[in-house]
Amino acid sequence: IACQCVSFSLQIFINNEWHDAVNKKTFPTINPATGEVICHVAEGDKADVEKAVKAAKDAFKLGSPWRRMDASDRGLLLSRLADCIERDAAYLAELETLDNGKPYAVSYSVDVPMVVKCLRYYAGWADKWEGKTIPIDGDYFCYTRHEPIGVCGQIIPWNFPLLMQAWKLGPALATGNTVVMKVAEQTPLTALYVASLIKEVGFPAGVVNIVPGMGPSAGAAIASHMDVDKVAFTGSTEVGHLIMKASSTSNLKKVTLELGGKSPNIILSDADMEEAVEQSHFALFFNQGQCCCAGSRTYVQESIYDEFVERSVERAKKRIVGDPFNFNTEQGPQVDEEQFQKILGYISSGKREGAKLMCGGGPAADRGYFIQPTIFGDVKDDMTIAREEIFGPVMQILKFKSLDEVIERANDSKYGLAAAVFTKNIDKAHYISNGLRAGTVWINCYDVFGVQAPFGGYKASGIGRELGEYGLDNYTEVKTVTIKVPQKNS
Amino acid sequence: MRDTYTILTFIINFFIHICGHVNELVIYIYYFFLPHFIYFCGYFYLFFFIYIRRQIFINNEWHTSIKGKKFPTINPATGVKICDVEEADKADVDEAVRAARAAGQRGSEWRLMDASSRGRLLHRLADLLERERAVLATLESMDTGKPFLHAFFVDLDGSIKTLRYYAGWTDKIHGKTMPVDENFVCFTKHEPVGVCGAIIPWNFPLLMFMWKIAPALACGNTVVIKPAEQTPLTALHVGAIIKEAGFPPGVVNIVPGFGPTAGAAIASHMNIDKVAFTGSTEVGQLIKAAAAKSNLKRVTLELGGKNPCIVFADSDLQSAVEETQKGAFFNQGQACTAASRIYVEEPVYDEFVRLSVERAKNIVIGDPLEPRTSHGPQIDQHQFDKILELVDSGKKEGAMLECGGCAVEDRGLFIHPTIFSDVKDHMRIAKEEIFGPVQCIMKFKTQEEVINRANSSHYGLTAAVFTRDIHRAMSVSAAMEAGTVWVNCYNALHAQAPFGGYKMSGNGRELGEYALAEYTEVKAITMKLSEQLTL
Repeated sequence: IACQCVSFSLQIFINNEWHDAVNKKTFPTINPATGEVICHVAEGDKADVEKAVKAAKDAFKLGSPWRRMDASDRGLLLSRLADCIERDAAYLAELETLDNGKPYAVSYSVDVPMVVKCLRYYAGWADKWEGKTIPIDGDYFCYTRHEPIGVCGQIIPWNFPLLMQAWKLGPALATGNTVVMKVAEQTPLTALYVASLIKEVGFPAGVVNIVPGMGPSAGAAIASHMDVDKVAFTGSTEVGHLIMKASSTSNLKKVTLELGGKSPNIILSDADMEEAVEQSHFALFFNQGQCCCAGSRTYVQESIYDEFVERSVERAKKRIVGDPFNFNTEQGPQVDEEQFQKILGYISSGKREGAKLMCGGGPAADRGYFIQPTIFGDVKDDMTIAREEIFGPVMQILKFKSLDEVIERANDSKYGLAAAVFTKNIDKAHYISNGLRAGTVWINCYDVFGVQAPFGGYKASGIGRELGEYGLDNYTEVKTVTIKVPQKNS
Repeated sequence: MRDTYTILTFIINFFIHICGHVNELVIYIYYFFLPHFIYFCGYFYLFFFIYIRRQIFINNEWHTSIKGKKFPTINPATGVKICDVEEADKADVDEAVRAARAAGQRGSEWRLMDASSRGRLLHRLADLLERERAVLATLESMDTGKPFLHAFFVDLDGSIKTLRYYAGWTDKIHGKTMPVDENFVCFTKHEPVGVCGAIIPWNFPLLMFMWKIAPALACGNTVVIKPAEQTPLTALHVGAIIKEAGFPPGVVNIVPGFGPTAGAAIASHMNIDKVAFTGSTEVGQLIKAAAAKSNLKRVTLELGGKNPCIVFADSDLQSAVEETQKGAFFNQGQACTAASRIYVEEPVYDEFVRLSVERAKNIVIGDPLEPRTSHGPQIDQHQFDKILELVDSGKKEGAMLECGGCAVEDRGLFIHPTIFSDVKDHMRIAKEEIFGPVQCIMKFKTQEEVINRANSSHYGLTAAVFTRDIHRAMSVSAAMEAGTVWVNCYNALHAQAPFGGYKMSGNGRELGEYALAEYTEVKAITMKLSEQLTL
């Protein structure tokens, strides 16, 4: 039945055409709500990446249609892509839910609209990414050109397949690069559908190439390719290390990384309790806990700790876990068996290391990869569940006394992606947000993503920033042009 | 009837879309054949199908003039009245300002709207303009007398691109955070100025409309705009489109009327926060005085020019002749950017004049709706008389008339493309803005000399240099006292690049990122942070 949902090509997208894998291999993609195979997709490997890079390199040749295109026309193409995605929003949202397991209500009202906004936003930048003229000393005229880097490898994760695709394509195409994208093996479907839209709106052949496949084969081929000028990766910190290493041992390609987090969420005693409980719940459990910025260390001030835990447990118990296509469902399955087992392993370690299991703690259904919303109280900073990224619906609540103490504890992590603070006090809000070592700080809110604002990590949470004007830097080479002039005048 | 009109528009736009995506050959064929179709349809539309908007547009509604006055708008190609339009006066401007103020009130729909949604609205307006392209080009051609094809390709294209460009800016107008000394948090917000008055000219009615409203709306302002009394029709048609696009009532208000009444009311209004004017330097001074005397409203002015084009002997002469002549005669010479002082280096001077005259004689004067026409009538009798008076002065002061120099017989407001050679800097035709199809060609010997002569004008709008020598291009473009310098090209205007005048050619810049500064107030917010934090 599920196969009938898929009415587009399940092959590798190169040069605006569909190709089987060179070695003819395919891999199954699974519906995590049932554990059943949806369909088989062509599996790209080194040879396919080779073809894709060749196509992207040709599309980027000096004098190619893509290089000669007006910047404003690149913007128009991105706008049209956004229009098409908006047109097919319902279909894309269904496909996303089928493949990833996230509730349809979320994929339709959060993921797809954010994709559309992201593409429109970068559409606008295409002809506004201005170089400068610079008054250097001497009889010279000096200016900069913001030029595309070239062939950009992009490796994206399975937790927000459509959105991560847009975050990558938007700035790369607005600035005039060409792309070889590897989509996650767990969730290749929506990306391939978007590929058909990319062709439909009229991007020149080879500008975007999409290779579904596995990390160690296709992903590694991109990261170590000598003709890929830049690689952008979103995923685990562990793989981030591999990507950067591959760059350094191959051609020193530019690297941007958006990696894991263990983001502290700090609740002060003067915070609006109801709001803090709800937002902290959302911060952790949104997307089945599968967010790199999940608020996975909830620090609560001593005087309100007990009430906060009690209310949080109450809220978690009310969380509706079930069929992602049911409109009432808040939480679907984890993405696959591997993640499912890994999360259950972390839950065991929490119990073993002495954290207090307040609710949940086990699978939530007898088929599919559902896990009960789980809360641990009395979590200590040195426990595994307080240090490692769980990437599942498991909330850690920790107690603190003073501001300086909590800032120090919050920062005591190799990660530095996001953080939040809940307080009504303007001084404390600023004091804490200034003190936190994280790329994003939310005050009295969580997971607020404006495409206009940059996102990325301090420390081992990443390199570079995505979104906003900052996101353009990652896809730009700056060329300084200096012209000797007979005589300078200011 | 309206359905037929919609279908026709659809067919035309269908062709436009198809042709836009095929290849140059098809566009070429299209360029020659489709206009005939449109030529026919144009009349067809105007006389049978288009409901020409002729009222005052306030609060997304159509109003009659409070005083009950109307004025005729004339087709300058025929001298025949197209229709009467409601004439806005002070009282109508007051109404429009009230509407604009209410629409821009704190907490209003417009002020609460996400910046990206403002961008969506501007994009939608651009989409609708594309849909109405043929209608608007026809109206524009009828009302201004400019050749239909120019309206269709240049004016409409520029208008649509301007809207799309500023649509992209709406959510990219960044404030900053400043690392101020001591224990403060300091950041800036770029806020809309408020109610923006705009007074626009008759030479590019639609394009000037967009140059004004696009950045104003992108920044979140509301607008009261007065189109020129000679050419109110496209602006009013756009009013209907603005409503259709879904802009909240009062965000854009259009008051057709005259300068001394409606225009003056805008410039001196106590509740208008900013006025942007495009027109003559003389009126620009009045606008600035009115702002000074009333509420110190912010002023941007885009005024006249007497733009030097410098042609060096090493340039591609054929191309220089073409570009400068297009610069001089485009839009019947009615452009503030008109190439009205052409300095040619001595060794190629005679050849340049000869080629220019040859080329000028091939210009096709005729009915603007006729596709072969490249030269239409002047806008009105006043301009027509002024141009001929200046042409006479040129003859009297001893310039050599090479061609033209008079009106086309029995054809109302048409003037032959005119070339004067041996023009001297002190002559009136070399100093005053003619705003007509008159090309003045002067001779120079050295680079230093021509730079000084080019700069000795109280205008400073544009300049152009033609040379193959990179040193010369760099030196001369750096030396020009002008807001825009074109090297080996002319009238190369783009939404992305700023445009505006040095000296008495204007204040401020339009287009590009620079224009955003003209439509924003910067607010610096500084917060003291307590150093004693208690739990």
